[in-house]
Amino acid sequence: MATNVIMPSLGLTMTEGTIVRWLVKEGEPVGKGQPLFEVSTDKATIEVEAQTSGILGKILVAAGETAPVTAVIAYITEPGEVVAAASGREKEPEPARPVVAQALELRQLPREPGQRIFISPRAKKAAQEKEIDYSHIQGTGPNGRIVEKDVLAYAALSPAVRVSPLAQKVAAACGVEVGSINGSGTHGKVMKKDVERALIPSAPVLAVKPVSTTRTIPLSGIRRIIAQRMAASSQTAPHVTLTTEVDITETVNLRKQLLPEIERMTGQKLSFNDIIIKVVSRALSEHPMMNATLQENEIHLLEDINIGIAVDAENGLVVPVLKQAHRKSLAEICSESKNLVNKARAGKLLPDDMSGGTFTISNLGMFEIDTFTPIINQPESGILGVGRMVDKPVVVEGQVTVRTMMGLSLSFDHRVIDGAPAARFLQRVKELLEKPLLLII
Amino acid sequence: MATGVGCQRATMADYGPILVIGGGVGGYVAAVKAAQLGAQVTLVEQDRLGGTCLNRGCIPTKALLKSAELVDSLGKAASMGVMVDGFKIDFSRMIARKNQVVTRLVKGVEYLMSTNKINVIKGKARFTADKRVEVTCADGQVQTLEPVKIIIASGSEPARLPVPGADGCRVITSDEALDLKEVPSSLLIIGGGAIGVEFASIFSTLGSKVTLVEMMPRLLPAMDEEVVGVLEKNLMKKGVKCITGARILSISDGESQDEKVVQLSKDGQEQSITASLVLVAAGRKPYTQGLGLENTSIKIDKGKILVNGKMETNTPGVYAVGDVTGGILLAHVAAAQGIVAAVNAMGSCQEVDLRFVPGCIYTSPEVAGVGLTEKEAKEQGRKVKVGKFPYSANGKAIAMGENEGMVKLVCDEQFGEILGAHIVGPRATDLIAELTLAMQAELTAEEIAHTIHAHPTLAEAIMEAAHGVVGKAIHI
Repeated sequence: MATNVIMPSLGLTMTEGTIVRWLVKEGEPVGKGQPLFEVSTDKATIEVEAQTSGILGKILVAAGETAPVTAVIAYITEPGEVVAAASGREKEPEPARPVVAQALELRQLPREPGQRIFISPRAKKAAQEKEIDYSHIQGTGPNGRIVEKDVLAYAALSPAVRVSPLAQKVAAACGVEVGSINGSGTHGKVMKKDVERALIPSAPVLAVKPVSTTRTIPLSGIRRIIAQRMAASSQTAPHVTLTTEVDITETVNLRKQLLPEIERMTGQKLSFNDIIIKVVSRALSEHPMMNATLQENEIHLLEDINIGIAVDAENGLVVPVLKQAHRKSLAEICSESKNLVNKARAGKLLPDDMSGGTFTISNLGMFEIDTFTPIINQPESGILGVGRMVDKPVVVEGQVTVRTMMGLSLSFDHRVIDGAPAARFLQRVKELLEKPLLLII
Repeated sequence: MATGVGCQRATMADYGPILVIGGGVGGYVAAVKAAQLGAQVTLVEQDRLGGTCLNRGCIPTKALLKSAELVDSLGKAASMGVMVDGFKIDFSRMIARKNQVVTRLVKGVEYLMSTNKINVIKGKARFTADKRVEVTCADGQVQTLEPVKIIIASGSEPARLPVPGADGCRVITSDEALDLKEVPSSLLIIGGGAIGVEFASIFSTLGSKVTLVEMMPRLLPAMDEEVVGVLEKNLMKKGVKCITGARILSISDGESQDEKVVQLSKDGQEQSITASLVLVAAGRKPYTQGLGLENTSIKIDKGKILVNGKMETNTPGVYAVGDVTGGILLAHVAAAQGIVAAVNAMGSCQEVDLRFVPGCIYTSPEVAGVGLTEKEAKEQGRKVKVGKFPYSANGKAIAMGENEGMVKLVCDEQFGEILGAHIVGPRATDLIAELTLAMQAELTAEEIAHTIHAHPTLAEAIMEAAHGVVGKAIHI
């Protein structure tokens, strides 16, 4: 008896997931608890384990494809059991036939009128988009179920007739790939105006000679998510970045004193970042406008202060969230943040570990960066960039002395908050870091 | 026709009965389409089915034109080795044959109505409210209909000339011109548009002394100048006197009873022309008289019912198609609009695509055009490459003894996109179909040049003109 592998729900807000890759090949054995596939949601990429042991019989949603939550994405069969559609693979490959012959066969699939057609939602959507009558398509899924691959293969059989000669010429002259254009002509034929429409956003680029690439990396998984989210944030929120320099000498002293205590309590070393989280969450509780989100013409001031910590993981940026930071002691923050960062680096973060952030801290001090202009992690309204700590000659009370200085860069969404209140918030952060004893008040 | 998306589909019950007002091409085509889609359709027509096109326009003029063509052929017969021992024109028989042709086609439409189970009421429709129509039948009976959907296709009528004497006797419109008892000895036609030049062509061939007066600087102002030039030269050869850029001042009775005097002004100078009959062909206007639109919320502008691309009026469920909506007054446009109105009334969401509407002038020689004229293309700032091929280098045309005319393709220089196509010469009105199809399918001059055209045909001239755009024509 075959067991369905379904697209898991990895968080309350997850509606669909994209298969990043299958970790087990079709036909290979898989044990319960063994990582089976990686799925990327709108927040991160997660490894999913097999719920049962058996043979991975048939993959229905290939790497790169997206499926709604709870959709069947594969079957795990018992050894020796064969899923009907998967059995074809064991057969001798049929001799290659001309494409036209195959196309004819696909079109002539006999189906009674009114007979129920099994088709995956993605395949159905693809067929509708391409205006293809899928009732004639031979499915390759279990029991002849039509999967997206079948629709795309069907559509690819006659690409030449789906673009008008004029549109083809215009596209060729402008270097546009007609396959990527939605056609408005009869049965989705690409017409000249479709090509022209496709040209509009990239029109100025045409004059530029294409840069030769040495290697192409597909924009997939977490990279794609970062690309989308960063572009969206940068385009929707008017960013303003304020920078300041903080005398962090007192904080360095405080950390020295607390380090052994906290290490004894938690087994973890207190980092400057932990203190900055503490300071920022205190400042946020005093400046609620910085802990807000803009939603459809309304600014929501958020009760919780959940601090996102930007982590440079192997595959790219991830932002685990330390929740209720303002209610936590330095020891708790230290212990929890280490746990989150370790999970992030190991790629073990769960979607809920990454959701609910209200403000983010991004620290590039270890790369000898002084200040930078961080991009807001929406729907948050602010992000604090932390620079390196460096000993500098500073004038204190008329005397030149050596102090440990650190750069801070605050980016904020000017739709939500103005320059002056944001500056007051940053000034408060600076004050708390310069006089960390204020934290105990 | 572009198929839109995103429109809500209703269930069959929402469609209910459809009323079509007017049995012309726009109306009866809409009725057939709606019936094919399963609607219960009622069509009201006060006169004969077929409207202006079948009864007073396209078809009867073509029937008379064929007779005139025969007269033309007889003139050439001797040169082709056919010795005809004199001939006589029996105009009343020409009119009778024309009537037969019309009757046969009207019967065809009646047959279509019955096979599609369309309820045809002979009577006059009048709105009493937005969705209420009172129909007064020929026998005086009155019934009130409350259809769910209404398609207005009431057509157009000849426009009157706003000058003194325009409504006098011996001043006729195209309606009366088709039922004359005899060929007038002299005819003055006011209006050098499609209707005017067609009547000029017919009556000059039948022996009338024709004067054609046009207000614009040239005949057929909407057609390509070069192509019209060929027609103009031919009309003049037949003895038609063309006066362009002239304004009619008045029409009055002449000295004798069967004479009319038309006073006109050209280049600031007045002159008067005498003719036995005056034909006013100065355009057509939407026909909404007695339709009771004043009792509805339907918006009109200068007599035209305002519609959008889906043929919807501002009143939900009320559509209008064809001449009554103004725009391009052509039967094939009305038919295309009728189909769109019908499918939309049945819950679809289409917009009529009028980018490539061929215009045909049935004269001798014929003129046809689609898309932009050379002048229009240049005015739009397009870099234009023109390909031309004369019939005088086309084997079939020479063999037919009709070697006057040309095929002219106006193409975009960069991609060979066909911006316009213009033909003057034999069968121009049939040949334009190839180019209309090419434009609709976005074929370029290259595809036409590379398409094998049968030899010997007139269509080879199209291929050669396309070669002229791509490189160079072979046979010239």
